Amino acid sequence: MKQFLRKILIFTLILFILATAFDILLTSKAFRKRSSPLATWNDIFQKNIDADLLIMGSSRAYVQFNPAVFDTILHTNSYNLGINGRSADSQILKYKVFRHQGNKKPKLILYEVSHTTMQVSNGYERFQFLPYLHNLYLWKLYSKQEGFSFADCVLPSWRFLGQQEFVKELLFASENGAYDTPLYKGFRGNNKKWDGSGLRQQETISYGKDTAIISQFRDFLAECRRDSIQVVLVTSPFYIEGTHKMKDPSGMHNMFADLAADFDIPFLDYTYYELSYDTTYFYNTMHLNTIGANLFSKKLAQDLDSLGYAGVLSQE
Amino acid sequence: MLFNSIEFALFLPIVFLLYWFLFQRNLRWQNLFIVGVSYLFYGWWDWRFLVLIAFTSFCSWGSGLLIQRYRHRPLAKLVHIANITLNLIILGVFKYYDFFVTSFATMFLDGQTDGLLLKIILPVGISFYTFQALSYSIDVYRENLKPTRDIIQFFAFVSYFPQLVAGPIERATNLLPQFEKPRAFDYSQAVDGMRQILWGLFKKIAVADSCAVYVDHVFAAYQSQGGLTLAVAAVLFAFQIYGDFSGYSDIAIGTSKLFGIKLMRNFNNPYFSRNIAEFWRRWHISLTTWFRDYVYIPLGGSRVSKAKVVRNTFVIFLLSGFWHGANWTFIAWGIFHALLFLPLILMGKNRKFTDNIAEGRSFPSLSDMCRMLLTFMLVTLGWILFRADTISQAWEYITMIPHGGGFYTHGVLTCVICVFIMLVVEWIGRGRSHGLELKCRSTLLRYLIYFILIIIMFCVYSNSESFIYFQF
Repeated sequence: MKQFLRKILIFTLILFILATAFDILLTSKAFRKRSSPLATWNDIFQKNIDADLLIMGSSRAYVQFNPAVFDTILHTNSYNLGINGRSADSQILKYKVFRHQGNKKPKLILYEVSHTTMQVSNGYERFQFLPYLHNLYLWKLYSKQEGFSFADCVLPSWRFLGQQEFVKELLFASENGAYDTPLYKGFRGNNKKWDGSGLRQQETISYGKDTAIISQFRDFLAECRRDSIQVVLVTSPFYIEGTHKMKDPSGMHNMFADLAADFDIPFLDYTYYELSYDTTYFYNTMHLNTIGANLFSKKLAQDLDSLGYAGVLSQE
Repeated sequence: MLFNSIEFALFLPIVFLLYWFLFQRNLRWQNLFIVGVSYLFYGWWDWRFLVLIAFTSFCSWGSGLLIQRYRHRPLAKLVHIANITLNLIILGVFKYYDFFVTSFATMFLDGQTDGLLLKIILPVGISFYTFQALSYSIDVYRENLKPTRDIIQFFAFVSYFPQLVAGPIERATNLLPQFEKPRAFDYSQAVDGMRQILWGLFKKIAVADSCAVYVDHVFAAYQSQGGLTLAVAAVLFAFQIYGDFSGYSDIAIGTSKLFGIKLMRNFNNPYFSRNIAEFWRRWHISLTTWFRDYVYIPLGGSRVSKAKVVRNTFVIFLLSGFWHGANWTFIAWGIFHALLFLPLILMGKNRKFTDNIAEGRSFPSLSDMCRMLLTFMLVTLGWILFRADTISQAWEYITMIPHGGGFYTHGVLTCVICVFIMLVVEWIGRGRSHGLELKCRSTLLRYLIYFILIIIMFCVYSNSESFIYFQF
């Protein structure tokens, strides 16, 4: 029996060492990525984010709010924390990790809200969490939502099981990999031209109103108020024909307006802003291309300036 | 709890250590421990069905004692029949009731089944443990086995966790006596068990699960696939089901070796068979021999008139098909195999190949190779029936194979590599009890093989699928 246990122990130890070495290799590769979606996580964990203005939301924040524009007009340092394909449940958790890691507390948060904000996230780009799962705090936050097991957190390489594409990407792709464009402060402009996708695919577009997520969102706003962080809710442009397909757009507007009123924060709705009528500025129904994103960011920054937020951001 | 899960990876060493270090001194406690951990293992899926397995075990145990007590009296027969009926009713209600009602409704009620279906979840492994429990009472009734008075031993026999949910379907004559005497730890047996577990995991994770991705994709939209894709998917399904089921059996047998208990062999390289009769001696051996011993031979086997041989063959294959599930496709699969088997048994060629193929040689002869390929093709044709949702779907699938069309390549290379490795390893070890029963003396080489297999599993791992045979 002793001999058997000794052999099992040796075998397990070798396996453990190999798995640990492989884990270190993969995570070190991941930590160097400057492209989406790992770049923002790397900034968070390397405490690189020193922003007074933080942008939050889904892909509609991530590809439409250009920090360079906000920095220029508002004379501040901003960062885009948008998370592609994710709703408020996931976005808020990302913010919690951001704060927990000791990144600077922002003075102002621009929160992009739209039809997907209050929907349950569907696990899009789940792989983005894998390199950081050894962080107990992140693992605890996301384990329920993403279905991570404790083994994913503690066993070396375990979390990369079944993630062949991601592993290949880490091992063999160039620094920026499949996600070609390196992010600028979490922002990824998209130069694509209008392709009409989204418009053709969907008969109607309905907005999410999941009660648990709304409650989570309210808690987030309350937490920001306690921390003296100002929040502005923003609905960015949506291509007008998409808006026409939306079920009860005024219902969605009212939901966010009511939330803003409850917390006494502004809600800026650009659904019908002039860019929304021209496909030149979009690459699909719900996403502005780089030209549109820069124009919209400029407009939003100017509006914020006129509302006195430049002063808020410049306060010591 | 799946064998290829993290839960089992924790469960197994804990149970192993407690079994040998805490409970070894007292056989009764050790058996009770087996019952406890087996019920925990089974209850992991759905604890409610523990009542069912406990009830089945209790009835069979009680019937054994009553049969012994009233031996040679009519009551013994009555108890025996009652126990078989009860077991079959439980199996029938949970597994076949909705199928019969739906089939009846389709034929006579225009498919209206409102309020008639029970829609009960199928308890995992019900066919396996029911048959195991039945084998006990039949053996007791036939006086092949003395009934046990020890209820804990009997419960351990029915619920023994390595083989509880997907076999091998053990005979009481083999397994029960092993619970009656103290087990001693055997180093070489335990090491062999670990190797067999590793080989089983390889077959499940690398072969079955990789093939499943391709096969599921093709079968989900077979109408839009080219003929070559359909043929490749059918072949890969043959390897998927083999990797899945024989992989499970290997893990079960290997696990059991760690506890000093030997389970019967369930697969013996079936795809190296040279005719269908040989295939059935090598595929799901525990079920095939169960039907042979408890149905086929009592019906007269092959030592009756030719008409009765035909009847017996059809009965056995129909039952085998029906055992697999409540669907006409399984019955059609059984009939298909009966039709392939009949000519052999009628011509007396069913026992033509009882040795290992290419015994003492590295490669098969050309004629053996052709026979092997033909048998594999026929078996694969049968698997299409087995995999399809309906008979008409299977037929449509088969008729589309000769047509041309594009070839869906995504993932096929991974499958081919894994299948190739499995076939090579099993070919080399075809005379042994499992693929990894290595004879090389070099520790370094052995470890290298183990780690290569583990690395392959890591590289091709697709999110764990359940084992196909759990549904049976």
